[in-house]
Amino acid sequence: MDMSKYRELFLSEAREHINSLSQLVVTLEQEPGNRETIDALFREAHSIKGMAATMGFNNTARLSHHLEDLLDGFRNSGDIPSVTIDYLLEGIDLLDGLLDDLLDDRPERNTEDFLTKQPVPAADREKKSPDRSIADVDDDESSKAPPEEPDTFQVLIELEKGIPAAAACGILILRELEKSGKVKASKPEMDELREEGDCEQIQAWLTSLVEKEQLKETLLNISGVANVRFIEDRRKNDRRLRRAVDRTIRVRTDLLDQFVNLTGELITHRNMLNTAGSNRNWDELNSALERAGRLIDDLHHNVLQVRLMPLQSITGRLPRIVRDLSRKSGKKVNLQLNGTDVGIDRVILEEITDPLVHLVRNAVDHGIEEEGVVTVSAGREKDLILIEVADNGKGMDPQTLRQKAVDSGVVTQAQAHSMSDRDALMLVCRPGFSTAQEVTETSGRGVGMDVVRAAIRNLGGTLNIISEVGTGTRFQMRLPLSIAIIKILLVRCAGRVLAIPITRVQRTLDLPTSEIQTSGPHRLFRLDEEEICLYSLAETLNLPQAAAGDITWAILTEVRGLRVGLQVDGFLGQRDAFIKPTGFPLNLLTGLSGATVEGDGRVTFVVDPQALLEKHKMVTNL
Amino acid sequence: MALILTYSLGNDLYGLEIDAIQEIIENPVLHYVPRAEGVLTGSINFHGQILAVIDLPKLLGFAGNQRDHRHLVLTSEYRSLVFTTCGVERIVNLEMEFLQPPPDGHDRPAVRGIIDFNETTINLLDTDEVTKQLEDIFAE
Amino acid sequence: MALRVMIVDDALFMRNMLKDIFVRAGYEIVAEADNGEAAPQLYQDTKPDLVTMDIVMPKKSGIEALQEIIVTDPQARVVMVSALGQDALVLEAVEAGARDFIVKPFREDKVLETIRRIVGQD
Repeated sequence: MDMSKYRELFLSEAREHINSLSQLVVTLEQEPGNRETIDALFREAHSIKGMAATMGFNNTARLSHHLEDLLDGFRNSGDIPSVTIDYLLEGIDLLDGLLDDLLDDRPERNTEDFLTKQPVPAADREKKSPDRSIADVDDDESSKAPPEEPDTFQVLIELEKGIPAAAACGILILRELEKSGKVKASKPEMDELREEGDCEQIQAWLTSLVEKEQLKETLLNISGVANVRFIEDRRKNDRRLRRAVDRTIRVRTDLLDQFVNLTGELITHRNMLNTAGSNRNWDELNSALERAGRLIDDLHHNVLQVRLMPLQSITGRLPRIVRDLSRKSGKKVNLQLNGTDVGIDRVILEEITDPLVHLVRNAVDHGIEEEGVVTVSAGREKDLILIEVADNGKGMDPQTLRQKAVDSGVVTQAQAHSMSDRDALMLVCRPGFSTAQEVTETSGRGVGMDVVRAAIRNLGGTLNIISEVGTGTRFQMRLPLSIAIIKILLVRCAGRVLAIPITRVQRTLDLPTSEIQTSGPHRLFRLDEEEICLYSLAETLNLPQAAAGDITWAILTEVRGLRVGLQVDGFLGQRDAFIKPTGFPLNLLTGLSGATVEGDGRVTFVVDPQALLEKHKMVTNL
Repeated sequence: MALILTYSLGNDLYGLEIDAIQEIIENPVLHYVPRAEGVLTGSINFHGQILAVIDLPKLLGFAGNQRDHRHLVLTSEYRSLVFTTCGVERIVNLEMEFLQPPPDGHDRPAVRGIIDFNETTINLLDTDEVTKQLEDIFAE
Repeated sequence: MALRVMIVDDALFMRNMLKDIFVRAGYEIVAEADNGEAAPQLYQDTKPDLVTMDIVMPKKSGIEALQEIIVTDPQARVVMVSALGQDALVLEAVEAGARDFIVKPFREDKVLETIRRIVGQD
């Protein structure tokens, strides 16, 4: 039987079980001897064992079996010693690592060492690694990673977003890698790229004698390469979290039933439309069209529902992160999660994973002094999701922040003086501003608050900070329920910047102006032996069209099945953009499909060339 | 009692309930809206929402007059419209029981009712009428 | 010695634009062709260090010209010039042995960066 089609499902489900395992162990540590928790742990390990064995993942199956046996032994006594807690956590980390191997199509890592070793008394462990931090855990793991290939390392090459011919870039990169060593495996593979698969990043396992720094430099020189990372970095936990948002999604059966019903109704309607059409019965046609419109709205709503995933899928690991952080810092921190069953679009979920972890780390590192509670709560607020990370620590003093911002040159004395307290709190989101006296290993580096705010903004959300000295701090993220991210081409038009969805652009054109012919009111150019009409974007917007220079820039698009050129004043590149709906009455304007907010707050409108051309009745006599 | 924000349109004094106003912002950055003309003067980025700025005097047919630098952002119940208008004056506290329907021959546009205040008449803006006019203008 | 470049593009405008960029960078333009048919022979005659090749051209496409050049000289350094939205053609060209590609509209520094890298590689 071909098991490969179940692989994705196995990976996502197993990851969920591992997440609950680690959550349960942290709970158990807080309430030792809770029989129910031990039972739950046993069941989780048992589930993983069954699934892994079915899939033929032997090491994973053996390890989960081992943990299951271990837990079974404590079900009667109901008392797990603290050495065993540590041993369990180590086993869970190992399981997580095994899942990483399977996810990346590597052979499963070795589990013998762990299986044969007895739980070491905590006192001895502490001597060996005095502060068992996340970084230490990772070191342990990377040394355990594929044992048979000690010289193989993994490199992750990220491409710039939205570059043209990304697959071709990918091939050039793989070729470069092959020059510097042996590529054991890559994702995507050369063949996948040849079939012009989408390519955002290249992950490769490489055996090479070339120095990593040198290799990195070479790779960064290739056009389109945005970033090169060698995988062994300390933020492994975060990456795992991101992976927790898997590609598969499970859909409730009642939702599927609704899809079937809606599709059925649509089919019925198509027949009605056909009949009305052939009878030329306009009333019937109109009413059927109206109903079809409503059905499509329902379908759209349901499709969005499918994309929703519970916040839990990323908060599951937070207890473990907080536990490790508190151990390391010697603080006593209790983490509370509320309302994490709220559903969020999976794209948003992926994007807020890092920011959320950062906020929680910040709360532990900078909010809580010695002992306290960090609360992550989520809920619906109208058509937004509110996610709040709160601590009951020392709070932030706007006056201190003002002073610090002046000292570090982020704002002037006068600006600081006229700033409201609310704005002063937001200073922590300025690049180059850090409230911690010293940079801590966990939250002082890597993503900063500026990155957190930018990530939230990019999603069309907002960040709000409420803080009171002595009471604590609350970071509130408000995010849209669902999201529309599309690729856009930015163009210049009559001195303005406009965006065009890339799906509307067949290609960009640079036409020698001298080769554009005029025929009556029309301008024509030749492309692939075809005469094509050229229109002006500016004119469709009732703006003056500036005279082109030697070259006329245009996009090739299509209106009612005909290829047409649409002249612009220049191209400013393409990128991913979060498209916001616009308020009344902007939403009534034909040809405006939304707007996107730039990093600096400027608003760029997205125009639909087809709608504009049709509206303007420019393409009438074609 | 109700709090009313008063502003002048032409030679008249108009009023809008404070409850309908989400925020008053000074000199917001106006962004270009493609195909915008007439009463639609642009858009603003209001806490991440892209809202339309409506020239209220122009919409209601009042000529001339400098626009006030303060813009009124209405609540979502009033479709989060943003009004630019003239001479935003002050907030007054009025007894709404004294609100009267506009008398016959009252030719001021978009008035829900009138109320006397210190010997002048305040015309209470009919926001529904404003929305309806906008719908008529922009429905294509 | 100055880098010797050959430019193949059917649009005079594009040829001139590239030529200006290369001349400013101190390169020598040894040959120009306005179609794919003439390119392989011209390559043989001049043996340039580098070729920039438009993809869509009359008579013979840039990809066909590239294939013919590669057959005679597997070490040939050919950089494709494409418009946005020609991903499939770019991929085909890279497969056929193009060393890299630049996308119109391009920026001078990007073009030179690409070329310096390719020349530096060998």
